[in-house]
Amino acid sequence: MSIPFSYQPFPLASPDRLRPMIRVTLQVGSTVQDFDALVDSGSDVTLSHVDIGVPMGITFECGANEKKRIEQLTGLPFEYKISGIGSEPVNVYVVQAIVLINGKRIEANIHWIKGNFNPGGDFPIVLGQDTIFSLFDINFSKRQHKFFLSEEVVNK
Amino acid sequence: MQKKAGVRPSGLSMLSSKELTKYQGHCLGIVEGKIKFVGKEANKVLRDLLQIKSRDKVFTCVPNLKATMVK
Repeated sequence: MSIPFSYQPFPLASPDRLRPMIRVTLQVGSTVQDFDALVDSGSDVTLSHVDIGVPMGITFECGANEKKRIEQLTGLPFEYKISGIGSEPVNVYVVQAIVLINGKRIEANIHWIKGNFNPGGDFPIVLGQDTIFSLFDINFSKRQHKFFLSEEVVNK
Repeated sequence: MQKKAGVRPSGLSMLSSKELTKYQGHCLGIVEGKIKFVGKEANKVLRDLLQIKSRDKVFTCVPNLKATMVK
């Protein structure tokens, strides 16, 4: 069964702009909060920002032992640069958090972008191939202004 | 605010065209369908929102309408 979600229109943009947005829950320890997130098939990883992670309770300035522990959990460097977001590579931390997407839970290796969050140009969370696309098949229909999540697995 | 049917609507989907224009470039804390916090500093709006005890609260940001995804 496919679950339809409406694209978010920005009707005053010229031409009208449509974005696949979905509400997700982010959990860090006992801190739980819903966020609007962009579904981005072009992103290999799931992104957020340090300005979001710190209020949620993540301590990015930590000691060597804690960094090592986090790296063992994620399988990735604690800090590195990723490309493809802007014209220049950006610095990120990689720390796990729980993401709930339409009732499905995943421990995600979130890439937390350093630097100031720009509400006019950045999204609080960008769901990439490693989270929402691992949980659901997603069909985008810009023509219908909808996208569809499906959990169905076809066995042939 | 616009009331939309469906389970767990996104925060942005609750905004009218007028509100999308008014709040572009801002972060919003929406509690039970109403805009409770507005600001350009994400961490401040989020901290305020986290203080609210409600099961229906969502953090969102309104992109500038001229912003594009191509960078």
